[in-house]
Amino acid sequence: MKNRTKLQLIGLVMILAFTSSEFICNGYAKAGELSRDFAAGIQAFQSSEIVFHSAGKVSDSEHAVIQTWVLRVAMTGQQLDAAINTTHNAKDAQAAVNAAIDATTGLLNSGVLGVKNEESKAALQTSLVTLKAILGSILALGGH
Amino acid sequence: MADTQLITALNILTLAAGLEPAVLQMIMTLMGNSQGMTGDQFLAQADGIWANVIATANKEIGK
Repeated sequence: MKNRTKLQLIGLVMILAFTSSEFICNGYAKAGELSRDFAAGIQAFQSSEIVFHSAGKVSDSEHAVIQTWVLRVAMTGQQLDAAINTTHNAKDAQAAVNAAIDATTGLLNSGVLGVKNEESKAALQTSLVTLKAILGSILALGGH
Repeated sequence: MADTQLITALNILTLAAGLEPAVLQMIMTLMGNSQGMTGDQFLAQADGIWANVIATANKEIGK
């Protein structure tokens, strides 16, 4: 009877260990997927801004400012990926997520909002606000 | 959830005629192949994308 209880306990511990590691791994994959989606979205944003610039809807000076901010966002994105990879969860990568949010806010306020062509500005602004929400989703994952 | 946000952003840029079909196709392919991927694989994809974004930004700034 004693051995049976012991076996049941060991079984329970093994099940808990398996499910908890599965949970952590799934959280890591989710954080990685969100980070990948954010990167893909910024690449689409960058490509679109270049199209607008080529069409004369974004001036040379506006273009240079925006691409400089895109560069900063990309660098914080790389740091975010490294932080998620190191910690394997979103909670401990919080500082890196916040740095990416700050850079994206800078891109919006100091770059996109300075575009004079209203149509291009609206498209770039709305897409960027939507992409910023992906970073909020990484924060919302917390320690999962 | 994130897929929805990304698709929304892509739709906005596509409707404004500011997104090249090749870039849209590349992103849709990445998203379509996400099933069963690990965290490491997602992050490797993200790093590849960031490398492209950085190279393009440097090129555009240097023009």
